[in-house]
Amino acid sequence: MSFGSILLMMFSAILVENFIFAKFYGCCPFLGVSEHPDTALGMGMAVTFVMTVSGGVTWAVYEFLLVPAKLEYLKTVAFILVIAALVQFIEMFLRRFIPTLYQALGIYLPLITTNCAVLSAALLTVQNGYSFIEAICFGLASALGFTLAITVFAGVRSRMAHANPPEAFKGFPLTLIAAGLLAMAFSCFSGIQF
Amino acid sequence: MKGFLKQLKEGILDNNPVLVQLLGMCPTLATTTLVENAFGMGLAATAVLICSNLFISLLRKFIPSQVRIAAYIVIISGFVTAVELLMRAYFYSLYQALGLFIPLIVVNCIILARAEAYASKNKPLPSVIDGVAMGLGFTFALVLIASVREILGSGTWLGFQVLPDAYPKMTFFVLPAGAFITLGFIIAAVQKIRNGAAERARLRELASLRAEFLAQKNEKAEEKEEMTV
Amino acid sequence: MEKAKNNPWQIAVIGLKLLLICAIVAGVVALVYTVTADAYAKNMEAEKRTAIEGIFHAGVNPVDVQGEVGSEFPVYRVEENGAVLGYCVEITTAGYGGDIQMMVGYNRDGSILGIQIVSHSETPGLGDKITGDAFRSQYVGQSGQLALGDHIDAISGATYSSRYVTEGVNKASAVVAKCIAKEATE
Repeated sequence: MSFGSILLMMFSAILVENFIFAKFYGCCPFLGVSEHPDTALGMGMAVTFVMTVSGGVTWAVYEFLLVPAKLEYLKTVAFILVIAALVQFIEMFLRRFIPTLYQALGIYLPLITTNCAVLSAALLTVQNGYSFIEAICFGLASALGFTLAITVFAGVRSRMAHANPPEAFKGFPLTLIAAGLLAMAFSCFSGIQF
Repeated sequence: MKGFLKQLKEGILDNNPVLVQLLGMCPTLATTTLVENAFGMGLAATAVLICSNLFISLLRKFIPSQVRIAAYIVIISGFVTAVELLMRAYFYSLYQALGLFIPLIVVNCIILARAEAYASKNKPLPSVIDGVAMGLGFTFALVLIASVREILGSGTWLGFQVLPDAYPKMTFFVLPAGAFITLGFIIAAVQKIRNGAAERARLRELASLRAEFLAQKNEKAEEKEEMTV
Repeated sequence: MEKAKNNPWQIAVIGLKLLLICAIVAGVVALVYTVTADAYAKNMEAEKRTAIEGIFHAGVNPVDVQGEVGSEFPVYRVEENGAVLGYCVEITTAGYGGDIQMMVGYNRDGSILGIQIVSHSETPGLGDKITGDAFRSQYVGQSGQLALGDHIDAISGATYSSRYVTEGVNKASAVVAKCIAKEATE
């Protein structure tokens, strides 16, 4: 894959095939941790960090461990273990060596293991047969798409906090409807021709 | 038996994992374009939930608490892979329709939540029943959402034509935006019903308190009357 | 809790327990895999056959020639009673919602006989129209590299899906051109 096509793939992963609005990967943190723009950005950054690293690591595990041993069907088990271990490791590493970053991202890290965006990026990488560089770029781009979605959405929600909707719509339903409207806005990207 | 029915009602209605607990949003939004897919997803997740609840409950004294989440995830992902392999062999078209969302059952928060909140603290049999109840609740919610989306978006239900051809199909409902909005309205309806029930319960309580208070007052008045007499 | 963490013996026990769980889970999955492998292979085979017979007709005999022509996709020479009817290429391209897997059938002269969408996960109501006759029949009789707009009309609202299918067909056509060239030299 040339540099141009990698850029194209990343662009498409961020906007056109946005993990949240087109594929629904990672909806739980998207709906749960988007109340304030600051925390949303923190979550987005933590996810970006983990997904980029896990993109490379799961690729290596698949190519160098599972494929030679003909155990491709164990990929779900292997990937989720790798991701859980990686999150733990990143948490310890940040706490010891980059405490400021740990303070910013620390509380979000344990939540990431069960963020399906991370696992689906790893599985999609295998499904699409990406190379190592592509795997990392795909992880990064998908995570940036997630970060974009969650930060924009947090902005919308912080405005919505002052609204006075009917009793039944308070809280979660209104959040979902706002997400629907945002998804509609994002769907315009699918009309882009390259 | 009575306990079983109560647990079932709890899982499907009062404490529905999707509509009330608001868990497992990814598969709920993604696999509800068609009722058939929603059904398949619900039953696949139910199978995993029952097995994982059973085994986590059986192993609850064996699993060290420090690494319990890792152990749960391994057990759950094992069952998910087994279900995926079985579907691939015996329900091939469903396997293709659900795609990546079968392996993603691993990170479905409902399953981990039940493992942590219920199966790790209870005996095997109630854990299995809890798995059945929560799984059916999940399936019920998915089928409900998918029914709305399939009927309005494609004019069919489970593949059968239900709306006349002349009726315009609202493709909006099968698109991602439609998923969010449909779910939003359904949860609003559930909240409305629950608010109504809560309000009625509160009024009943108030009424009984008032009756009690009046009764006491009457008693006191009578006592006073007796005293004066 | 703190004490337990510092005791290497306890850490070893925890590690061993976790390892044991992993090993058992892997064993169970491997067992299920072995049991279901045959049924899965049969599904794949049946699916392929149905697609090829849908393009040609029932009773044809597909011969795998992927190695012979050195193609990166599975290619079949479709024969009946020893006579070559045409070629079939099995191709998988990235679609809008996921992979699109399809079978493209060719006459002996390299013109398209028909295409079958084997599996896809395109948007219901929009992208899934690629499986419809109206869209697929546009390809029949065409040959060479096709362009969306010039040779093929895109499905309105599903330009992406239409483009992915056309790209796949073009890749298949390139492979078949190789097959025909090879046949001519023989």
